[in-house]
Amino acid sequence: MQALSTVLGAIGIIVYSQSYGYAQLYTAPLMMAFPAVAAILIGGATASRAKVSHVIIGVVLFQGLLTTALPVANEVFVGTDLSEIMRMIIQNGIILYALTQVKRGVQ
Amino acid sequence: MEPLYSRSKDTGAWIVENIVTIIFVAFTIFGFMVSTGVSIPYFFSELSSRIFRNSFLVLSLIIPVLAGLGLNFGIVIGAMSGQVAIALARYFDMGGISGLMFCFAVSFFVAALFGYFTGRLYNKTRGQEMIASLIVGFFANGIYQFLFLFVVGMVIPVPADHPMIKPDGVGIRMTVDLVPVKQGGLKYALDSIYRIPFVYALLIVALGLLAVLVIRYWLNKRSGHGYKNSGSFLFVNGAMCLALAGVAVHAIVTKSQLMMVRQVPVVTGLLIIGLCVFTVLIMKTKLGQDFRSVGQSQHTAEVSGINVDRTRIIATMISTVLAAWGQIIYLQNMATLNTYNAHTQIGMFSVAALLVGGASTSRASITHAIFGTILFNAMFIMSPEIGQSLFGQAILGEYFRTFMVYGVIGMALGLHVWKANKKNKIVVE
Repeated sequence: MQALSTVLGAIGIIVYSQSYGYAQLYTAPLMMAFPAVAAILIGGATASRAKVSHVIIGVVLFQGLLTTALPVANEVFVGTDLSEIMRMIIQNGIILYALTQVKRGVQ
Repeated sequence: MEPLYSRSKDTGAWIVENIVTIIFVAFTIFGFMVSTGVSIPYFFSELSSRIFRNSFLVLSLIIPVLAGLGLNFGIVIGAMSGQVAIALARYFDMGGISGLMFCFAVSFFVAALFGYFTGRLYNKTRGQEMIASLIVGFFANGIYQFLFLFVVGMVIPVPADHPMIKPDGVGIRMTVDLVPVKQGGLKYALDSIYRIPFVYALLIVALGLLAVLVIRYWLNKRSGHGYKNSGSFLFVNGAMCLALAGVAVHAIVTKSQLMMVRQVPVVTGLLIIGLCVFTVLIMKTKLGQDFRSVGQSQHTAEVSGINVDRTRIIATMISTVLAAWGQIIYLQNMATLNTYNAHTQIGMFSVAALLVGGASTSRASITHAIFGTILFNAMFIMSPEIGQSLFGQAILGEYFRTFMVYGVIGMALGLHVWKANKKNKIVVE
């Protein structure tokens, strides 16, 4: 199961690189994990249940949020580049929220 | 529960348990043998200044481990609180001891507040505190950057010609120089209060440790806890202290190379020793006993009437405040505030240092922290030199060091999950 996930991740970054036009050899793999996790969590997955519909909804919402919010933010707060900061806050906030929702028994 | 006495541990098991420490020690010795550019005074100068810079941060990680919160990567939040305080002090051109006290006071309140929120987050993510602490560090980094890059300038008006503010008036610069304490700034504010030569410090530390060992042995005997004493433990450690003292005395008498090592900041050293004592003392109080009970089993602690949630929050708050102060000590020695990067690495490096010293996600002590800091920073100093000597490129040593650092953390996390699963008998797919 782990091996399959890793293989799909490898295929995923190949698809990403060929679409992006650049192969960021040294940093892209590290950067790839968290946005993907955040996207699937936005789509409604939890740490124990995920479906393909979660993936599609999640990717659309997450990327859409970042794409549409940025020009708005640049209009409202003129002169600063908030894109990276907003990405950090949204992405990590989503992951944190999902972590708090994992149901665990009392140790 | 580890047995009271484990004299009969075979060497194989001991090696496996301490494999990381052994690798780091071997690496340092190897570095000395192989590299040509490292002289003894240079090595010890670098090592001593790094130890005084980093120990406080590593020590702040101990209490969360004992309280069952695992490795608190959330000390990054404490570090950011410390940096907020330093930025404020630098903005208002405060310096010297008063500026330092201001920083400690402001960071105390900021770190306590954010430590409280972090503690509440840990309570909501029971069982996954470590990964939550990692992510909350990134999240807080985003908020910190929002504050420093945007709020300063846009929401809070600041003059654009202040040396700290970017030329366009919005946001704080990437690197902010701390003004030397002689000109009214914070640079070396704590370090320069009193310095003594390295060999004197070595002598004092060796004799002090020897005294602690002997007094503890005698106190145990006197109060009837004679079984806790181990003759071989006292002998081995006592011999090492005497050897260290002997080296120091020899260096003083013969004016050897060790006399050329950079001077040691006494007040910083006293603060580190103070934190060690604080950690030991707090574990002897009721609160400390609560930490231990919660760390061993939350269910049992809850049933015994301990407010588990509150105890965990207090542990997180203490750790965050100590990390904030540790970051202030770090910055007053570094003398440059790397506004957006200084705090991001310290979480990883402090955790790795603690792990290298032999700690695990459920067990940490002061010896782990200090010993780990020494070994970790020794490797830091050695790796570019080894890379340069062996392969002609210093960067290869750096790659190996990065590999070791993250490898150590990964191994500790893996062991933790493995043990937790074994305990709960959950099958992980």
